[in-house]
Amino acid sequence: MNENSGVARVKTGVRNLDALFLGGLPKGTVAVIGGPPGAGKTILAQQICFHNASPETRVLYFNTLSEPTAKTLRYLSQFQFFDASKIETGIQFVDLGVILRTEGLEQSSSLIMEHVKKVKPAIVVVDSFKALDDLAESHQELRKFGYELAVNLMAWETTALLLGEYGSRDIETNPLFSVVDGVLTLHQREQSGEQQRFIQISKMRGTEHSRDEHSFVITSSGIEVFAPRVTIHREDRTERSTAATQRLKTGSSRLDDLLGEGIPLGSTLLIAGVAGTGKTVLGLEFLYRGAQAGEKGIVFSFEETEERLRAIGRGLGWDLDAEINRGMLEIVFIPQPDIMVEAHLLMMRERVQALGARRVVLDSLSVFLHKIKDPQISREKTFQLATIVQNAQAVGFFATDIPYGSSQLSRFGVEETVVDGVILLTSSEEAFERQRYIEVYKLRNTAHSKGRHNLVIGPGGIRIFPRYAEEPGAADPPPPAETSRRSLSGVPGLDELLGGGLFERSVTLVSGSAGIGKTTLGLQFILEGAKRKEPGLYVALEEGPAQILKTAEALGLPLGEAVEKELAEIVFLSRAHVRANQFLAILTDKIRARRVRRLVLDSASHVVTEGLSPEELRQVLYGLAGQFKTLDVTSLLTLESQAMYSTDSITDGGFSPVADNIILLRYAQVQGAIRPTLAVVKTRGSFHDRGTYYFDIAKGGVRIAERIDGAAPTRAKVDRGRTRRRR
Amino acid sequence: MLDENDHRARVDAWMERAAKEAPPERLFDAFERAFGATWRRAHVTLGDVTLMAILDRVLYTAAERFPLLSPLEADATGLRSDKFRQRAGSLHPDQLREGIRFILVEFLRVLGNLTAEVLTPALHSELARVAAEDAVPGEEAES
Repeated sequence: MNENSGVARVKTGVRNLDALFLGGLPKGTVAVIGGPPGAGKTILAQQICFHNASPETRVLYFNTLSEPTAKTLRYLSQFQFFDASKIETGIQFVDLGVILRTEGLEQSSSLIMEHVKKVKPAIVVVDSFKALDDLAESHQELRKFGYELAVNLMAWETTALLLGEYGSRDIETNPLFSVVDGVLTLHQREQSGEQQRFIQISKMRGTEHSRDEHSFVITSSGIEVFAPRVTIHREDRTERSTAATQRLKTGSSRLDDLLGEGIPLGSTLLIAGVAGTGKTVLGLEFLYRGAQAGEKGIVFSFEETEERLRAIGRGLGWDLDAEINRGMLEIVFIPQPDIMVEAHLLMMRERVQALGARRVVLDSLSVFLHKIKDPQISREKTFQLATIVQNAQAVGFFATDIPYGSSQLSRFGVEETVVDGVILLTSSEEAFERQRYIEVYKLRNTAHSKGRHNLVIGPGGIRIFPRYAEEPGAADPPPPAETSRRSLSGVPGLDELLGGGLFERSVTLVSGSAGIGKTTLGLQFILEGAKRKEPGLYVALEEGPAQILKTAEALGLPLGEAVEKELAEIVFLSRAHVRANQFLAILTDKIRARRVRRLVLDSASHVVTEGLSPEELRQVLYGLAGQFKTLDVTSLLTLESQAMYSTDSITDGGFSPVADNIILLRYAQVQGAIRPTLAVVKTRGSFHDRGTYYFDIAKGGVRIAERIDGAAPTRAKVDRGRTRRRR
Repeated sequence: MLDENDHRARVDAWMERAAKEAPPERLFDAFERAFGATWRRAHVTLGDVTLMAILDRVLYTAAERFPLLSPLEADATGLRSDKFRQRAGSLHPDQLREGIRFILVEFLRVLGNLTAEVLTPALHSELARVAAEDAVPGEEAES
């Protein structure tokens, strides 16, 4: 049965109430409105009456012994639905008090019908009908009276509302309840720590109806029913779902990299984390970036006021105020103590629809639902919120506070089963500071990055340092070194030892003790690239750019000139401020921005920071090496060795498998002095000279000298590949 | 939902066949038979309390429009017309014709509304049957 089933309806004028009857009270219904004193029966009936009353649709309101008409009218005038002009022209109040006291039931019934015949009302109210009950001398008399009155009212096609202080026991025992067509009960009880009013339709002939309890409030507007279970339904999108899924890019720094092809529209994601992990900032930035991109957004905040959220935005350098002023962003602050879940659910739906929001942030879901004790209800409310987002084809970010020390993904442990995705924000103490991490734990129908990624909140907002090794598709091996083209090292004599130079896109480890010449060798490699118009990036972890430029100048290396011509850049990454797992993201950004072809990381050993295990460092270096290859960069990574002389160990950290080429720099003792030596111990896919050679550092940098055993150099065959000239 | 005009057409058809230009007393006799037939048919389904309430409404409204019909009353057996009959002979035939047409149409309309027209086909059939039985001599041959 539905609204169009042919049964004429009487609209109640009570917000959301008609939806409970699929469109309104069936016309001609005789219904009891029961409930204890103060439950709101009279207000409900009056609201229905005033909504319908007109000279054509008249209403008869009978007052019995319960409340004098004058009093009823006085209280009624406070409500907005009250319209004095409708009294007499639309609504007639009739006091039955005297007749009842003196004449009894039968005369009262006749009097009611006399008025009905005269006025021919569309709606009749008897307030209170229970007072008539009390005058009946027997059940039989009451049943007869109730039945005959109901039939007579029915014959006049009036919709009748019989009000009374009926309880659940009356419904089972009072004969009136078998006669009437409908039973609505109003009551109040404590729920979630506060007194709430509820309405329930337990019987209504002639229509389908909700049988659940629904909360309502009485305000100066009258009664407002909240029935999200009935009024919030997921729209059928079968037709639309055949088209390709439309997705949304957040616009937040690097977050989109983690989210793969984007978030499908209509999705809701939990932003889960303990306090202080960045949930509010992430949500705000999601809205701000959206607003900048022309997508409207709204945040429902239960803890931070609008002013405080604006201040957070200002602190991060965002012009939230401008976006609010131009109508792209709305902040709705609902103080936590004022939350009424059902009422605010409907309000949120209206606000989202009215704005046409494409982005919806709830900060936070855990606070919004904090009064609900039953996890099933929390789940249902989360589903309704997600439905609002889905119907609006928006994307929702719902923050949720996870209890400290728990392994839950949400506050109540059920919300994650309803939503489409979960972004987990965590933090851990490392060295002397707390590090934040972000993890896309779940995102339906989307290939997203796995694992935790470092996250920093600072000027500009959130900065994420993705571990690109966790990107979708990163499981594929990086592209191999380009064996058909070689990059010259810029070190006289070295390329011959390498079989003609380094293969393009190869990774070379240069291992040596402190001061032996690794940096100089790296600078020459960069300058050789600059000579060939191949942009180079020198990443220093120990010395600043000024020091490096001075060193280069002292050696007669034209680094300053290359920097000026933007063919070389020196970047200093402070070990104190940049975490190992941030390197990859920072360098990736640089390489992409400058179209870098050559890179020196000096030294990779210094990526190690406190709290990073050798295994984690290996992973970082593997990630770096793979990413350099993927980005088509020929790289040279220096490693500091503890050994001055020994060549027993190639690298101290077991990093050899990372590299395509390994160059070992060690000292040799010669006639009471030490002299640096160089040996190429590995060149993947190429011939190389296996001899150990002295080398000198003088004006112009490193220069390969004679072989330490005095033997002639192995003839280097430039067997494959050719020297790169210009790209 | 049927239109009031549908009921009026059925009542007019009955009147045309059964009571055309009949003098007041014969007209009222025919009306009583027609009303009795519809009452009996409806009574099977609705019972006397409901039918009395409906007839009470119909007679009240009829008396408002046609005060001459005010002596008519409803009881558990249907229409009580003793008081009315005493005056029927003195009524103007056109006034009476309009009055009884109103009662029949209104009775069918209210019943139809309240029962979602479930009984209407049966009631219309009863009216047609009575019309055939009471057909004015000569009318049958023509029809």
